[in-house]
Amino acid sequence: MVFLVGLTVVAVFWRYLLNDPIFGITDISRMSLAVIVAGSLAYGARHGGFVHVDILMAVAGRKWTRFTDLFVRVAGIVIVGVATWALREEARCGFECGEFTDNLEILHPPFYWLLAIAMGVYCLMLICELVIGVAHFGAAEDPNEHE
Amino acid sequence: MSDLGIGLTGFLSLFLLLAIRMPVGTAMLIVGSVGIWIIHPRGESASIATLGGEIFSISTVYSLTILPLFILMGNLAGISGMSRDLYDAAHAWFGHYRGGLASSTIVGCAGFSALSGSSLASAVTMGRVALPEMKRYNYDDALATGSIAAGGTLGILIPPSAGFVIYAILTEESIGRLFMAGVLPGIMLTSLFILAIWIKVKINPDLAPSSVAVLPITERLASLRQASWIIGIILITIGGIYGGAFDAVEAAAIGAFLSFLVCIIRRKTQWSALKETIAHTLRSTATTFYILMGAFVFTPFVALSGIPTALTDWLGTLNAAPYTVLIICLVFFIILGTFLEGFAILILALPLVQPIMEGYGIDMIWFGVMMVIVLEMGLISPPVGINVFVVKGIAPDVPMNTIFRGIWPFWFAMMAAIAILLNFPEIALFLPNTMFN
Repeated sequence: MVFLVGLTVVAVFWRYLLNDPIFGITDISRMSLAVIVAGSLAYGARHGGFVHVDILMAVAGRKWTRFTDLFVRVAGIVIVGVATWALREEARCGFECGEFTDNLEILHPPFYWLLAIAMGVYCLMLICELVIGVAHFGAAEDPNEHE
Repeated sequence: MSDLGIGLTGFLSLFLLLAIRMPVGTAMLIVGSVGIWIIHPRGESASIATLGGEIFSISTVYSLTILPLFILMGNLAGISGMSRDLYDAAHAWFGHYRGGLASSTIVGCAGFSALSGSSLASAVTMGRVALPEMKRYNYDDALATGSIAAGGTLGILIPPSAGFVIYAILTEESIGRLFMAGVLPGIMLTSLFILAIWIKVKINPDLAPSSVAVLPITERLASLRQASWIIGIILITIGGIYGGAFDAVEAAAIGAFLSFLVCIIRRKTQWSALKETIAHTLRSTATTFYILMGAFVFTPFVALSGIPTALTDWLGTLNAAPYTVLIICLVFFIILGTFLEGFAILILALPLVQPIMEGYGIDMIWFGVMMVIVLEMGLISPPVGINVFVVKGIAPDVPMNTIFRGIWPFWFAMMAAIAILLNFPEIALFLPNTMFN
């Protein structure tokens, strides 16, 4: 993130002070964003960064949410797992598939891999939450209930 | 089953998944990929390709680099103490009026919103500063907490706004023009909020029983000088976009850089504070991008199902006037806002509504501003007004229904803002139409 801020500020100063726009700055910014998004996804997975609508708990209570949470986690594991696999599949095809940036021809596969790893981390987090949820199924509270 | 039937079943399933507390992004990823799998002639391979391709493409959109940068700028402004300066300045200038502390909170939130694209960040940052002060002067709990929750919502109207960025990406409108379109309505809504406070306190003076003594002009000017950092950064970033000196992404980076410089000058760069800033930025970035990933898989499914075309055709048979359709849409969003998260409404509704609005020749920038105000209403509407929950976190001793009672004057102020904008679109369109001279 610091790199992205620095890069953009330098690009603006270069353009105005030296009257010489830096070639390919957009490509580097785009790929930096992929790194930030991958990092934030993994962090968000660990620290409950994904929003959900929480009406059911107030209406029905844990008596029902322990069942729905079970379903939500299993469905989440499946779709995030498939997304991880889909990103890995895309990552395997590089230059031949035209997977590179417009100006600097930065190859996309390493960034696909990063996103795949981030999704994989989220999938693992969901598996852990599922196991903990099953272990606490009969208990009054699930440690991950509010995340 | 027809494609249309599959599309409608998809929407129904999505609402069902959201109701059982599935994360918004996950629900859209599931419905979108399963829907594409069923409808698309290439089935499974199309679904997998969309899933991988869209997740990557949304993570590498240049204009979206603005999101982490503006979130970072807002968080840095928080730790640098600039938000406190802003509140102090508003307090010095407006605090002595009846209900002045609540009005100062609104002005502080509006100012902070110009550095932060998040309504939650605005509510939390200003709430922590303003609430103890209002309690000290025996302000009514409903008025105090209501003004913080409502003031925070200005975060997604006054640029930089995460709501506008997502709207721009989904409708392919210019982020810079949308940002400019939010400025005058943002100022108007701030004034309407202050007017709502004034009316409430006029009717019942007990809501704000005491006020601060009038400060001498030297002290007021000193408070303004102290707030000059934040005012300067706001002028440079928003003025830079308006004047065409740099684009919205560059403005975000320069704003973040300047905020960091202020942190260094004020010696607020302790490792723990910086770590928390980065953590907050990462969490907010994850929240937004995960929803966007879901949206970019869900939207092609909606298009494939043919729902937008069917809806446009159906509305065409009604021969309804453009304004009638527009008002129906806004009312529908207000209802959705009572139980759905704001970004989810944007993402769910835009693929359906955009073709209709464009078909009726409605300006999408003008519509975007009204839609964002409607989303703001959702942020404070019961039962899932997120800002209300945030304020509850700051004021644990105030009952939830007291906070909800306090938001109604502001909710009606937002309704008034929409009514004014419906009649005077120029308020939203003047700045974008005069950008770059």
